[in-house]
Amino acid sequence: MLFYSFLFVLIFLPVTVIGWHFLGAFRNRAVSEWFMILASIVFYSLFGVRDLLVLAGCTAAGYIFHRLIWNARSARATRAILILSVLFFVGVLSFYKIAKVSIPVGLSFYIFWIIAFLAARAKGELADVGIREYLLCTLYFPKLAQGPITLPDEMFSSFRNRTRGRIDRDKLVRGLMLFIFGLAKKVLIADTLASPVRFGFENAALLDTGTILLVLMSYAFQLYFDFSGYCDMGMGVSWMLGIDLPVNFDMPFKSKSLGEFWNRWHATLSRFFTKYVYIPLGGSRKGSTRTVVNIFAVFILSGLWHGIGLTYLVWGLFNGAFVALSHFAVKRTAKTPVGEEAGKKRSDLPARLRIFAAFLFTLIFFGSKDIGSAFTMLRRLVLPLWPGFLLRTAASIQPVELYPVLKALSIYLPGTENTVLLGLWVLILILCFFLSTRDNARDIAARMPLTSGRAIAMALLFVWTMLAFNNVASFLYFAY
Amino acid sequence: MLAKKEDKLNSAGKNLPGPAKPLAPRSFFRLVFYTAFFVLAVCGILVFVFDPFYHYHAPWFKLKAVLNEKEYQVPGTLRNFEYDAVLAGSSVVECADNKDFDNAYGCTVIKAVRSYGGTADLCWFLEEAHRSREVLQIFYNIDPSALSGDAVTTFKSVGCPMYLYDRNPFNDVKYLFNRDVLFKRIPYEIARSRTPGYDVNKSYSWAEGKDFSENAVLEHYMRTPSVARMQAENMWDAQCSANIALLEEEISSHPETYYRFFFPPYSMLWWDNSIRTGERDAVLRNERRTMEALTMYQNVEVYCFQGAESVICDLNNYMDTIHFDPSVNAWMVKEMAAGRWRVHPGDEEAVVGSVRRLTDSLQERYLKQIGEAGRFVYDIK
Repeated sequence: MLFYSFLFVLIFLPVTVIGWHFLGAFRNRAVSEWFMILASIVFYSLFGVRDLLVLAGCTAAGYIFHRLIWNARSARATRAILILSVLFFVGVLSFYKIAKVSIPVGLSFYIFWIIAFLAARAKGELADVGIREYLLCTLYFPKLAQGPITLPDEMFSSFRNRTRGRIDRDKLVRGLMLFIFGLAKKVLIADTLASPVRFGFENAALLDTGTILLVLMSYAFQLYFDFSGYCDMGMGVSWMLGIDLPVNFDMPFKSKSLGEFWNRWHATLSRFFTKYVYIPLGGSRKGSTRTVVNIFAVFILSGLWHGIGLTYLVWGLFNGAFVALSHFAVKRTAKTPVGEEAGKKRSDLPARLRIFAAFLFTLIFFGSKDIGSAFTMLRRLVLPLWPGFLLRTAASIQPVELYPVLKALSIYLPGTENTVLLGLWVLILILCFFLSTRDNARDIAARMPLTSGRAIAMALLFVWTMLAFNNVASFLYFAY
Repeated sequence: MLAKKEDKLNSAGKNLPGPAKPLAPRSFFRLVFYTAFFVLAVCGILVFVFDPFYHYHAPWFKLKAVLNEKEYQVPGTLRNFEYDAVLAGSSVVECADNKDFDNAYGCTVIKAVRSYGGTADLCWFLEEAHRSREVLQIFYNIDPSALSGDAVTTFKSVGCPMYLYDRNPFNDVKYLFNRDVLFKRIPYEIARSRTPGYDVNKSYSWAEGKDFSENAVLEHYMRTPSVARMQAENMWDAQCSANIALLEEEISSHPETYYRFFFPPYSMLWWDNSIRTGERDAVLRNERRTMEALTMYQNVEVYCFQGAESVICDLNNYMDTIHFDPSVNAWMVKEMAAGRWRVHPGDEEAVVGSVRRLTDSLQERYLKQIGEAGRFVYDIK
């Protein structure tokens, strides 16, 4: 089931929130927890029977490995079972990635959760976990399809610490606001940018330099608003249920280094790779060369996680190189004695722009269908070219809300519609830049005063997003 | 005096805009809920009233029926419009003028069109028509591809808006709360309806602005460089039988309805292609079998325009190998009304035989000249 569907918004969400809080009032919390497990299964089952079976298989396997680890008699046996389980889950993930069949929705997100759970179990960081609690945390629907990739202690403590029979109305309302913000980010912004991005990547060989730049910026913001919009929705729903989820997007475009950027962009994936790949490999404790190797290992893995292909590999290599450079640059800056220059407060803007430029550069490889197309795009970006499909790319936006205006323009001022659309495209990008460099939706929702004006504004935003449900593209990160 | 002044200042202060008073979470939630409910209700009512896909009713407020989105509008118009005859078929009947049928047969016709004219899809439309009223006449265009295609509906598989096809009121939310409908379809419906010269009878017509000429057709036609061996003529027997069964079921379950089936005149280039790909004999066999099955019924007439040499060999009638000028649609109605090109029981083999002979002669009589003039574009994949 999709967050941006009528079924979810009008039926599933109200029934689940009411049911969860109503049943949560009972002394025995098992009733509400089984209700949530059932609701999560219903939520996921609408992605298809095959996906549900894969989820069931992985969940069952996770629990079996967990019991084996629990019953293991020696540290060696525990370690062996953990390695076996990791190989099993990585094998399942690799099968779907390599076989190029459609990947079950959210496969890697719940597999990473299970691996984190088993690792914590093997390290003895977790007490015994019953089947109900395991299912509840594994299948919890707000994070099931697209993360965030939670850590075991976060989930278990969140569920264990909830207070029986007490509904936090403030949190519920703020959860609703966060959900609406997420919906708007996805439906109104990311999907509007999707058309020029698709058109741009499909016709890269015909675009001029300026158009490619606009397409890449649109792609960056599309990815950001799509994925962070989903995370906001998930977190908003979770707040409504009284459960906290970790932040996945923490204003990445405010970062001052690429390393920081990746700690703020899809933060829970970076955290997962840091904890389970980078640190076990030695992190930055084993000298500069080893640090660089470890950084590359993480980003190559991250690239392959996004897809098996040369473009993703190159994307990972470039990111690894940028982050390694950034890592040593930050280290050198830290060592520089505080002098007159260093004492002055310097603007963060140049650093942010540098990071944004590096991010756009890597997106050429991330978004292209093959390495040849990526280099074509790169060539057209680097060698100044003009003209090339700028207005035609802008024309692919076609905002439905402006249809009467554009139609009137085409009749009374023929030939000006595409120029107006270009202006609109640039305006949207400026708005995106403004929104993505201000406080994130979670902080706004948490702090916003509850006034009547804001209530009406939220309602109107909610209706606007609902009216767009019928023409929404699926989430970009479902396929991971 | 001073106290009075103070009171005055205080009362003035009360009118100054200050920070908005915060609401309790419950009040905030209620306000969001009621506002959203109210605005959604207004949107839903607007869509219901203007109903640009005619899902609930025929046009109100003296608006004309603006029919230009067949996937969205055919089910609604079949359920809610006033008519007693249906013109069913593929894109080749879209440019037909309803008035031609009305005048020739004394009926009020409505179009039930579907891309490629799949039999199951068209029969589904006809069933919807029968469910909503008594249909006296049906004019049914049979495309060759419809007889060799699978006899299953394709609405869902090609992404048609199923909320307009099923009778489930709950999924109407997709129609009632839809920004495309609100911001695009309703304004278009109103504007188009008030545009002078808009002709309701030319519903779904795509002919405006199209180039019907020999040059246009030859540009669209990618000729295969070699001639393949003629394939087994029974290669589509299974599909054809299933499609014929659907048609027979439709006819036999509605004896009160009079059916006129017709095979449209595709251009000679279409036949050239079917010969070069080795499919011509299978196409003709499908058509013969269909004619034989349909002419058995008392309430059926069958017409075949594929042997109309003056039409199919004049490429100026076409925009591509299949789609012809609206004047050809008008001509077909006239011819049918006059009883010409009719296939009588027992004539099937002769009719198909004449089409076979005509298509066999095309190369020598027409296509050779075009080829010698170097006007064919060859598909060299």
